Formats: sequence, structure tokens, C-alpha cells
Amino acid sequence: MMRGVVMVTTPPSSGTTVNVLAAAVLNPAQQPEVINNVVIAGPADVVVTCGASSMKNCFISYKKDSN
Amino acid sequence: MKNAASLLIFVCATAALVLAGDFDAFKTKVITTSTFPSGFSTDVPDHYFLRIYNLTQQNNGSTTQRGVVIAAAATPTATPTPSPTPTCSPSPCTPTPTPTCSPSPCTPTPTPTPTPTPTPTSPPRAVLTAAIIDPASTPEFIKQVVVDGPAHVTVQPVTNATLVLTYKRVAEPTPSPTPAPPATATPTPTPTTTTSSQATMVFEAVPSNDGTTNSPTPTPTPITPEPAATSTPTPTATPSITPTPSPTPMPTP
Repeated sequence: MMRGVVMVTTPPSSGTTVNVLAAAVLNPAQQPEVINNVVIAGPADVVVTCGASSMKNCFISYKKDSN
Repeated sequence: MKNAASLLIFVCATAALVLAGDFDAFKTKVITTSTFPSGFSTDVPDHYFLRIYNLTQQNNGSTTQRGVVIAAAATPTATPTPSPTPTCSPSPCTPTPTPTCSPSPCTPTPTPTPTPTPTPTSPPRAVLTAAIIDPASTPEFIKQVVVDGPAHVTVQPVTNATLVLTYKRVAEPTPSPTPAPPATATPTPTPTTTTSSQATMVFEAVPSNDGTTNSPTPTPTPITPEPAATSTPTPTATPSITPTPSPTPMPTP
């Protein structure tokens, strides 16, 4: 089972792409998982992918802010 | 002249903005063994703190090692203490006589060099380990940590892994002076003497060492009770009995 991830590329378009966050799966039949949050300083490219086809409903909250 | 002053103000403002941006801004660093410089290292000056928001690790191969944030306490900047001005009495001071020696010139007396005492600093400690980001397994907690300055913070790269670190260096807020509470007159305790049946507590003013008389702090002085004197009962005088004169018989006519 592959989860959705948040990938960051820094510096944008030329740097290393790395996963910084994996989605928490909500399954009422299992123990609740931790819902993490991360802060990414710009400039960076951020890409969010959803997981496997069985977990197509992904939900993300984010805010782009200045220092 | 006016242009030069404007240029100076512009340069100072730009420098202040650059310095503030360096400290009070989020920074994200990608740490791998192949990037240069390898690892991460930063100094947190005094009156600043470093807040690490996330440290994550993506394994690119087989590795069991985790990235670690290591903090080492640095020595704070020493505050110069004013040296006391030597005073002498009676005033004015008499100059210290210059020592004379023979043969001349004098051979200087070697002064012992003081041995520097090492400043005790705590050894570097691991304060945070990286959370593994693996889409195939349950997510781990991504924790935050705050390191107070002065400190030196480092993160070493991990083989076959990519670390992502987000942090911010923040200046500690300067404490605002708190207004002094209004002075409330405390009543001076009146020396009182209390007696009880068991012991006697006497509150008395104790004179200070410098000869001044302060408002007395009550000092309880226990006084052991003197044993009560057992008085011998004074015998009461027994009234003496005065004999009543017997009536003399009067002759009958």
C-alpha cells in the first residue's frame, strides 16, 4: 500500500526532490495514525501526490505565508 | 553631502534587512552525503534560539541509521565587569615608592603565568532524530525542538539517505521592565511581651552591626521558666484564749 506523499524540490526545478511527508491513513478499523505537518522554506517546488488507487481520496491543508 | 548621507542611510537599512532576514526567516536544508558542504552546521548566538520545525529522512537504499541533530553549548560572550577604582585613606594618596636595587639595572622578577582554567561546557548531545518518510509504512511523529543560544548545532549526513531540515533562528524578546509594585507600609511590630504558663517569649529589637538602628525584626527569645518557688505555708497564729474571769460571788445582805 503506497501512501500519498509531499515532495519538495529545492532549489526549484534544479535541486534534489525528496519526500518530506507521508499521508496518514484514516481507517476506522485500525489504530489512528499521527497526522504530521511540515514547514518548507522557499524557494522550493512542492508536489503532492495521492496514494494507490484504493486510497484515492486525499485531503491536505496548507498555507503559503511570508516570513 | 546630502547625497552621501542618503547613501549611508540606504546602506545601513539594507544591511539591517539582510541581517534580519538571515535570522528571523525559515530555512530548509537538504542534507546528503553528495552535497557540498556535507552536513549542516550553524551557530546560535547568545540571546537567540533555534527552532527546528521538522527533520525528515528519506531512505534511498538500505540503511538503518537516522539523521540526528546535535547541539553543543557554546560559551556565552563575557560581559566586562568594571574594575574598582583603588581608594586610599587618608586622601590624597601618597605615591608608592619606586623600589631601588643594586646592582643597577634591576633584573625583572619573573611573574608566574596564570594557568587558564577550562570553562566547563556540556558535551554535544543529540536532541532530535529524523522521522523516516516511507510511503509504504505508518508515518512517524515529526517532532520539533528548540535550542537556546549560545550553541553550535550540527547535522551529519547519512549514507543512502536524504535529510530535510527546516529551522528558524529567532531573537529572544527583550524583557520589558516590569513596573515596581506600589510600596505598602508594613507596620512596625511593637515589642510585646507575652506570658504563658509554660515559657516566656520576649520580642526585642536587635541592633545591627553597622551601628544603625533598623526597624526591629522580632527575634523570639525563649526564656525558660524559673521553677516556681514552693513557699512554706506560714502558720497562722492561733488566737490565744483569754480566760474569762469567773464572776466573784457577791455577798447577799
